Formats: sequence, C-alpha cells, structure tokens
Amino acid sequence: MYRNITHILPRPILCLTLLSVLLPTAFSQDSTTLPDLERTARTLLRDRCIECHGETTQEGGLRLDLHESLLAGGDSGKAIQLGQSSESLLISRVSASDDSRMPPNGSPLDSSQIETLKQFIDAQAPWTDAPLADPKRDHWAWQPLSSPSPPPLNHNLADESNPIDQFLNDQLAKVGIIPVAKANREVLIRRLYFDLLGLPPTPDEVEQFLSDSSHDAWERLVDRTLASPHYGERWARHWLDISHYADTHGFERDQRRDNAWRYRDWVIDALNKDLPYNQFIRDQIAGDVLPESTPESTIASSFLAVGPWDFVGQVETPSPVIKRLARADDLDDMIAQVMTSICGVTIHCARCHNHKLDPIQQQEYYSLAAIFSGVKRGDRIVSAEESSAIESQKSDLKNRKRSIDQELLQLTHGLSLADIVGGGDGSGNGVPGQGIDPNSGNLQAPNDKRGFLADIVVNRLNQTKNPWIDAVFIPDGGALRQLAISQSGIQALDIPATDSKAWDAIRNGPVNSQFSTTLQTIDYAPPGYSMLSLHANAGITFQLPHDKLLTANSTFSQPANSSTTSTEQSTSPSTEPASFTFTSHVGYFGQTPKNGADVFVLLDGQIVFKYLGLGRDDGLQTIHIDLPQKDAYLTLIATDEGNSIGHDQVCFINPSIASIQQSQSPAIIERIAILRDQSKKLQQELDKLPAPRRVYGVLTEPPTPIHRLHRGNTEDPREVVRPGVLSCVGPKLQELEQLDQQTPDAQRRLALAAWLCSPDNPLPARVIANRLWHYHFGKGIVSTPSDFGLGGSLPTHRELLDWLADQLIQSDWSIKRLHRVILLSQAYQRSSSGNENPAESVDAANQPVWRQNPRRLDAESLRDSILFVSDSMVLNMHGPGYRDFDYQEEYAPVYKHRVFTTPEVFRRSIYRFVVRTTPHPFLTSLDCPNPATLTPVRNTTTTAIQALATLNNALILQQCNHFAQRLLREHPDNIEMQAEQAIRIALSRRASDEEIQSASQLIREAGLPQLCRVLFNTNEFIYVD
Amino acid sequence: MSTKNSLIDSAPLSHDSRRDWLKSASTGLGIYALSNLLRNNAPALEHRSNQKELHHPPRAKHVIEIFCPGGMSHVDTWDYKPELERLHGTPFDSELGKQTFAGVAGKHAKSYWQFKQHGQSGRWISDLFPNLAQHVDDLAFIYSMQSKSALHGPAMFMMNSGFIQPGFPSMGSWVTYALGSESENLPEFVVLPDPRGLPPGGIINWGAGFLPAMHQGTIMEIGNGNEIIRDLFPAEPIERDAESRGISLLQRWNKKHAQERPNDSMLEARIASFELAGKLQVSVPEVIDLHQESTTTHAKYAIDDPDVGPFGKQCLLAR
Repeated sequence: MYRNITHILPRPILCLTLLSVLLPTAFSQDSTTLPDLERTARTLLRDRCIECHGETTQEGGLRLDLHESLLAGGDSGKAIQLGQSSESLLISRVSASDDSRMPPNGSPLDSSQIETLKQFIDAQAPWTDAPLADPKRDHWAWQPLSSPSPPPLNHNLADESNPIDQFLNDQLAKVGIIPVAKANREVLIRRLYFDLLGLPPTPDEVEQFLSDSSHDAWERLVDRTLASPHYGERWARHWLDISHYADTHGFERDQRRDNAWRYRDWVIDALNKDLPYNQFIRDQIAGDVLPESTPESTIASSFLAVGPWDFVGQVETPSPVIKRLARADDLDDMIAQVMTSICGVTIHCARCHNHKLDPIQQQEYYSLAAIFSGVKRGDRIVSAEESSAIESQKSDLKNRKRSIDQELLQLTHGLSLADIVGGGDGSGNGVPGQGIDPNSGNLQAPNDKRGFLADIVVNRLNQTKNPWIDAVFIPDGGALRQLAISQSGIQALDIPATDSKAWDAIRNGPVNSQFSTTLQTIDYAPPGYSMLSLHANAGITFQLPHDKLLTANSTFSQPANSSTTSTEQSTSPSTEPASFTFTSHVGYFGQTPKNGADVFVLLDGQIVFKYLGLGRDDGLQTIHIDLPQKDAYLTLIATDEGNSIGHDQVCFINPSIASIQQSQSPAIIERIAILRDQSKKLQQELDKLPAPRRVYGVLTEPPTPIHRLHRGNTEDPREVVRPGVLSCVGPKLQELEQLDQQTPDAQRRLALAAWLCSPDNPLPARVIANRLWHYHFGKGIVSTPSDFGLGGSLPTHRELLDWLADQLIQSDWSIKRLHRVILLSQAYQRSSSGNENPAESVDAANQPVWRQNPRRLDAESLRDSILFVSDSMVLNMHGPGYRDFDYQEEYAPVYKHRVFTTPEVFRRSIYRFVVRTTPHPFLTSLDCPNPATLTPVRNTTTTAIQALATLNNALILQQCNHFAQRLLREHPDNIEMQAEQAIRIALSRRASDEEIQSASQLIREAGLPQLCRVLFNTNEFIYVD
Repeated sequence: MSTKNSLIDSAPLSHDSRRDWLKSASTGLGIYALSNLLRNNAPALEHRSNQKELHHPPRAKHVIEIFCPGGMSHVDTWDYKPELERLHGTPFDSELGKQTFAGVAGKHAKSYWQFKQHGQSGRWISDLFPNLAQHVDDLAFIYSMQSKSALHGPAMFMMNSGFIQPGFPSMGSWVTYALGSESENLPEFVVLPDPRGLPPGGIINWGAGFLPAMHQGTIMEIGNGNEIIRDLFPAEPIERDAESRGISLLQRWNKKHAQERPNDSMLEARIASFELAGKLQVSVPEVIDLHQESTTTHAKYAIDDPDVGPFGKQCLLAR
C-alpha cells in the first residue's frame, strides 16, 4: 500500500509531505484502494462542482479541477485541510442544510458521496491525472472537423456515384435496407425547381428536360437552375427565416422600417453570386467596420439589426429601469440570432444562469453581449462618400434654384409667411419643410418629424428667433373663449375650447403624416406653391411693423438683372403711403370630409376671417385682408372643432403680404416666364438625383461596460465582463484574447467574425452544411438545425456531415458547389415513395435516407406558384417591398391586410413588406412563421382553417380567374385543350385521358375558374414528391 | 345562388339548441383519432399518443380567459391593500417612481371603493362587485402575478405568453398543444376580440409562437360586419352546384393521389381537413346564433345594452 502511494504520486516533494502525515488516518477506514478513491472523488468533483469552480468560472475564487488550486482554496480560505475532513470547509458546505449548501442547484450530495469526499481529504487528496475536464465538453459538435474519407464503394448498389451515396449506402447496408429507385424525370425537375427556385417548372422546361437524352442532362439542369436569379430569392427566404427579418419594429408602436429591404436584397444577391460563406458571415457581423468596408458590406451588417426592437422601451419611456431592460432584450436578440443562426448554439439560456445542457457559463453570455455593446439599431446611410457626393450635387442645384425661386417669389408673391415659418425672411430663403414647435417656439428641422407633442402648456406665448414672428402657441379658449395671442398683450375673444393636444409643428410645407397635399385635384405641394401648415391645435402671430414691410416690399419689387425695370421702379413715385394686403387660400388637407377644424385669422386680436367646421369637402377658402397703414399683428389659428385632433391638417396656400400698388410690367412678366422655366429645369435635375441609399441597420457607438446580471436581472448587475466568445468550441484567437473594456466596437466585432470564419471553428461549416441538407431532404442530418448542443439531436450521419462541412471549406466556402454535390447524389434523386419497399415497415421515418421525403410547399412557395401559374406574377427583382395592406398612421400604426388587384402586389413573396404585429392571415394559415421567432424549421400543419383559406380566400379566387383567363387566351375555343393545359401548367406533367375528361366536364358544368380552384387545392399541387 | 352553402352535403343539425349541439360536439367519439390524423407534427403526435401516461391527467374541459387590458385596477376590485389606506395622500417612493412608464409618480391613492370580507374564505372584495362577492368561495384568486415590464406591448405579451418579448406561444396555444381539444367541429382555440380594437401588440398576442400554426387562436369576429371566421365562405359568390361539383372532383383526385402514395398520412390528413372545413361552415354560424338563447339569458348578459352589450355578447358566446 505504501508503495502504491509513491507510485501514483509523481512529485517527490509532495510524496515527502504525504509520508509524514498520511499513515495515521488514511488506511484505517476501509479497504478502498487509493486509485479507486481518487477516481470516485474526482468524478464527483467533475460532475457536481467544476461547472462553477472550473477552468472557465471560479465562483468565490475557487477552482477544483487542478490539484494546486484545490489545495490553495478560494476567497473563503482553504477548501480542504489535508487529512482533516472534519475541519474542511468543503465538507461543511456540501453537508450544510441551509442556503450555503453546495452545490446550490440540483439534489444535495448523498451521504455516501460526502463520505467519499471525506475519505479523499483524509487520504491527502490523491491526484495523479491531468486536470479534470467537463464531460459536456466532449460533445461531438464542439470537436474539430474530421476529414473523413467516404467508405469504399458498395458493389451491391450499382448506381452509387457520389461520395454522399457512399456514406449513406454504407449505413444502409449495415441495417440491411436497399434504397428505392430514382424518381422519374417529371418528379425530379419539379422537385429541383421547388427546392432551388420556389417555383414550378413551365411545361416547356419540363419537355426540354424529358427530351434531353444526353448522359449529363440532370447535371446540366442542376447547373442551369443554380444559375437562375430566382435561386437567390428562394434561398434568401430560408436565411430570413433563420434571422427573423421583418419590415417593422414590432411591439406596441410597430413602426415601419422603410429601408430594411436593402438587407433582404443583399442576401438575395449574395446567394446569387455565391459569395463565399465565410465572407457572407463576416460581412453580416462586421461589414460596416471592415477595413475594406463597402456599401454592400455595410448593408450586410444590418443582419444584426433585423430582429424586433421596442421603440417605447428604447426611446419613449422616461424610466431608466425600463430602458435598461429594453436594451438588455435588444442585446439578447442580437446574441441569440448570431449564435443560433451561424453556430447552432442556444446561447440565450445562459442569460440568467449557466446553460443547463451545454458547457456555456453565464459569464460567457455576457462576454458575447460585450462584443455587441457598441451596436445600436437605426436608419443609416450605406456610404458616407456616396452620400456626400450626392449631397454636394444636390446643394449646388438647390442653391442655383433657390436664387431663382427667391427672385420669382419676390416678383409674384410678396412677403411669404410660409417662408418665414421655414426660417427665412419672407423672400424665399427659408428651408422647405422646416417648422416651429408651437409648444416651445423651437426650430423643427424638416426631417425631425413629431407626432403628438408632449408636455403641452396651452396658451403659453412661445418666442422664436425670427423677428417677423411675435409668438407661437397652442390655443385653448377654455370656458371664457379667450386667450392672449401676442407678447404685446393683445387678447383674442371667441376662440373655442380645445382638447389641448397638438401634433408635429407649424411648417413651411406639409406636416408629419399629412393625409394629402392635394385638394380638389390640385396638388399644392411646394415648389410652385408655398404652403404654411398648421395642424390643430396651433396658433402663430406675426408682427408686421409698417416700415419694415415698406423696406421688404421695395426689395421685392426690384427684380434682379433687369436694369430697365429698376429704372422704372426708381422713377415711380413712392412717396404715397403704401398699403398692404394679406392674401391666402386656406383648406383642410386632412381626411375628414366635414367639420374637421375651425380656422381663424385675426388682425390685432380681432377676428377678420373665420371658418368653423372646415373639412376636406369644403375646398379652398379665399382670404383677402387689407392691413392698416401702421404696425400690425396678424394671427393664424387652427383648433380642433371640439371633436379632438385627428388629421386636422389646415394649410394656408401662398400666404403672403404684398403691396397693393405693386405693378407687373411686361418686362416683369417676361422675366417671370424665364425664371419659371429655369426653375422647372433645375427641379427636374434635382428629381433625377438619387437619394443617398439608406438602410435600417447598425449604428456603431463607443461600447458601454457590460456586467454579468445576476439571474438576468438588469437591476442586479455584478462584475464587469470582458468581451469574448465561447470557450467550449473553436480556436483561441489572439484578437479575442486582446479584447478589453477599451476596445472599440469595430475590433470587438471583427474579432468575433474572425472566430466565426476560422476554419478551426467547426460549427459554422457544420451548421450551414446541415441547413442545406435540411432544405434539400426536408430533414437535417441534425434534425435540430439551430441547436447542435447537448439539447439538440445527434447527427444521423456524423461523418457525412463532417465531409460536407469539409467540402465547403475546401471549395472556398462555395455554397453553390455544396448544393451541387448534394443535388448530384443518387440520394437526392430517389423516389419519395416508400411504396412496396420493405424498409417502410422497418424505418418509416427514413432516418438513413433510403428515399426522398415528400414535402408540402411552404406558404410563400404556394402563393408564388399560384401567381406564377396564373401568369399574374411580376418577376421584377429587388426594391422596396410590396404592401398588401392598408396602412393607417397612429400612435400604434394599423396594418390591415386585404387583397389588391394592382400588379405591384403580384411580386414574389420574398418582396413582401413584413409587418411584425400583424401576420399575413393567408400565409400564416400555411405556417408562415412569426418574424419575432428565429425559425430554423418550418412547421407543417394541416387544419380546417387552412383548407378554408386555400378554397375561399379572395387571393385564391382572384387568381383562379387569372388562370382561367390565361387558359382562355391560349386556347380560346377548345375545352379539352384548356383542361389539358391547366393540368400541365399547374402540375408540371402531362394529363391522363381520364383527367382531361373529368376536368373538361367540370369546365362545362361549373366553369373554368372552378377547375383552376380545384387544381390549386389538389394535394399534388401543394406537395412535392 | 348562395354564398353560404356548405362544402359538403351535411345533414342539418338535429339538435334543438345551440347548447345541445355544443355538448355533443365536445363529447363526440373518435375525435382524438381525427385530431391525431391532422397532426403530422412529430412532437405533438408523440405527445398525444402518450396521453395516458401524463402524470397529471387534465380535468378541466374548457378554459375561458377574459382579458381586460386597460380594465379596472386590481386594487379597486379584489386585491385589498390596507397599506394604501394608511399611506393615502403621501408621496410615492421616488426610487419606485423611476420605474413608472409616465415619469414622475404622484401620491399614494387608496381605492375609491370600500372593501369587505366575504364568504367562508373571508376573501376581501370591493363594493364594485356585490354579486361576484357572493361567490368568492368558488373562485381562485392569484395575487402573485406581476409583469416584468410596465410598457403596454411587452406587458401584453407577458400576460398572454409569459414573456415580455414577442414570438412565444400564447396560453391558449400551450393548452391546446399540451392537452388537445375534444371539439371536432370547432377550432380548438377561439379568440373573440373586443370589437372596439385589439390590445397593444395586436393579434400575435394569441399567436402560436414557435408551436405549429394549428395552435394559434382562431379569431371569431362578432357583430362588426366582418366575416365570423376568415375565409369561412368564398370571398366571391360561387353557385352551390359549381361548388359541390368542384369539391367532389377535388376529393376524388386527392384520394387517387393518396392511394398512389399509401404511406403518406399527411395526404389523408389534408383530405380530412376539407371535410372538417365543410363541417365548420355549418357549425360556426350555428354556434354564434344567439337567437336560440332565451330572452332571460339575453337580459342577464345585457346583450342589448349599448355600452356593455358587446362585452356581454362575448361572454355569452365564450360560455
């Protein structure tokens, strides 16, 4: 026994210490051998302790996987007193019955386990092997990629031609299953088209393939199909499922993201041009901060921002507590999306505690959060260079146009009050669209659009910087129907009480979300007209000193570049006291036809114009008011007409003050014509300028420190965590080791991208190879494509998966080449019918892939096929999504889906404007997922509600008519031909005589659209063999 | 010509009352077999076949959730807070105030209604509910639920799915997923939305999240002129004869197609789904027809009251 100990303890010094103390206690207790004791005790430590006291985490500063650290103890002192179990903290903690009991989770150690630990300590903690490893770390998915060679050819299976088949057949041979034969060509081309393009083949394409007798007909068909631009549209759908893309924020204020679509287009293009997968990942993680960043890679990085985002929690709430929670959810969404989509790891379990299944510590979750802590979401330009080039062109054109318009305005309009509201001096140098906040008097920039104003104080006279403006205010006449309207103390009488609400600003142009700028068929949107918009409730008082008007008027009457006119002007008598007029046309530009708002114009506090209950139907009202020949105050007020504000957009068209005597000579008239022409041409040039491209994407900011949050509670932050990645998998990279609190956002994300794209990280290649398999066979080699961890499924063919992953890396990460190798396998081409194969009774689940799996079309493919077959489909690629809903601007915007007849909505479903809070009813009934969820696998359900949708939905019935019209166009007089073609086009195969006969009969008895409806509802149309 | 014809030739309902019909619908035979057939989602299927092994067999037959976002406060109804009476008029704790949605919090305010104890259990109920107070011993009150967020959207999701983020299955989805439904001719999980508008977050409050779509709430719109169930009948009129000829050819073709693929249960399930759809076209209008209820019932539910009538109607239908 004694010899035994020295033998197993390699270090002589330790041996000596042991020798001196060991003998009295260790061997008196029982007959367990020391190696046994060591093994049992260390297994216990490994299984129950090192999750929190191991290599990655050392709770309480204690580490139990190394002998030295076990002996050293932790923050609470020595964990064990060698040879004295009764004095050891470790034993008292595992035996405790209160909160201090270890381990804190799961069942307590039983008495025999505690006894083992006691003996272990009393035996001087014998320790021979290397440090203990967490068995969860041995999980297959974390292991490096193997490069397996395909098993040798099995000569009993004559048709195998492809390494994939060698792998599969090898396993089939082991279980004694003979795979089924190849499917026929009609089945194959339909399967291929739906898999790669999401559309059915046309009858011509089917015929061409059927009649192609060359030996490589299939191979060439595969290559042709992979080269189709519709490939990117189809496969982008898969990636957008995985990344939960949508075109609105989600949550209560489900606002639009009008520029999100550029990311969707980027995915389509990246797939079509076969962007290497490692680059595909890198651009999406850090494309905006790459040293060689391009507009395209910047758009790609929007990947991090495509998920839901709570505007109220992020922006609107004044509560810091709620803001912290919203930001934590925001980061969680990014982390979960990146790790599940690319790595197949369910990281978000570690938000509140160590991952229950995978070897992921809570602190690693927060390390990943720290990677993204400089990432915010928002609209951004895709390229600063592009934007500034366009902006400088634009401002050049605008400057030229402005000087022309300014002159024009002087010649035609006098002093423009709209221009003054836009920050100008009345001559046309104000900013179009700019306005004034009636609640503060502050300038409101054109793009600073507001909804309902907060913290309103009614009847407060707010000053502005503009000398022409006395005050702005939010009127409420109250019970006395009275309020002050000028700093000078003027009171207005007979102004009604209001609901004290206000919207956006008083603007030089339309207000935010203005219903329209058109009234009775004329569009009054500037240029051409000036527009002062006053959304009820708001008021503005202009101060018009008479001498100032005189000065302004004389300037206005001097057309530039016209010396003749100038002379004429200078000779004309100007001693006569000039008098001025305020002229304008006022209208209600909101939606309400009648009784929308009350409008008042006051001169020095006296109402000189009023229109109560102005509505859209009332059209424009002319205002013509002579001003007195003295200093005057002119006030414009719009109130809510007692029915609260809602689209109460009151606009004054061409509100101006001009001298009555202002004459217009022929020279001026000619000059006006020339200027108008120049202005129009410049406007056309401006209109042609593209807007700088914008995308809803990533805004990079200086990162904030990330704390580990105890139990995920944002109000219980613990230690600050260093940015980092998972420790259980992938390479240890220097750029990751170097990350600290000072590292800027760019380096953090670049380091993560480097880790994800490293060929030494086995997960990204495995996960994408499995996803391809999943979409081609209806089931992945790992049947949980976004969970490769211990909670996920095990691979049915691990070597094959590694071979595929390895192929991907070896072929420069080409996704299309990986498709190709899968599609050319015999396995892919097998029949999907298990009919008469004995394997059906042995393995109906088709685990070893002895046949193909039949599949139902997903919602989008079904819709696209119906439109395609009916010849309604508009195949234009790219651009903003089609909107098949009515949109209503509200605090919480309303989206109501309905069926449209305009061709704009007949685009492929990938171009649908996706609303998070309002799922598309028809597509949802066919299992189109909610874009709040990361969807690696589509559900396939069959319900009565779904049957009702495919039978009765207005879209289906509309397309039945379109399909019928197409058939009538192509075969006007022959019912049999209509029947035959209908089947051929819809089902991509020739019709049998019996089918033609039944179909013709239905056409005669029920009409052609009914046959189309039947075909759209057949299982054959909706399932792919 | 008729738009309200059925997909299948179904015998008229022989039951005299809506209640009878509902009763038979919930005790019909062979229903589990059919719902199993309709589920090709493996976990759900597996789950069903293990039904007998559940350690906690379901006893409840129906679950009705009345969700009143923006309704009365719990402190005014059945969550008696004597401390509020003591603190009435004193300032609210500023630290807590930070968490309120609207910013600065006001003062403590006690309830406007008097609380009294009722029943054998001595449950505290305010004067607001004199009738309900008589039944407290038959009710279960949960006082421990709270939302992780004070914001409307997240709080709605919290209430309906248990999470403040969107995308998780709602309560009804879980119930039908876990326990199934005995009703053959009605959807498993029905939602009767307030005709005045949806709660914040919209209809995904009743979504199935990541569960199969069959577990999402089927919306029945009552009394606002919309279709009761979306697409229950063709969007444009189809003659009865044309409809039935079409459906019969469809089912014939589908059956032939399925016969050639004998091992694919999904195909059989889809054929069955059309039959079930036909039954829904008969049963749904029947179920929502409240004329069969007595005038006393109408009065009890205040169906004709302009203010509370719509809510009474929802309650009666739910029942």
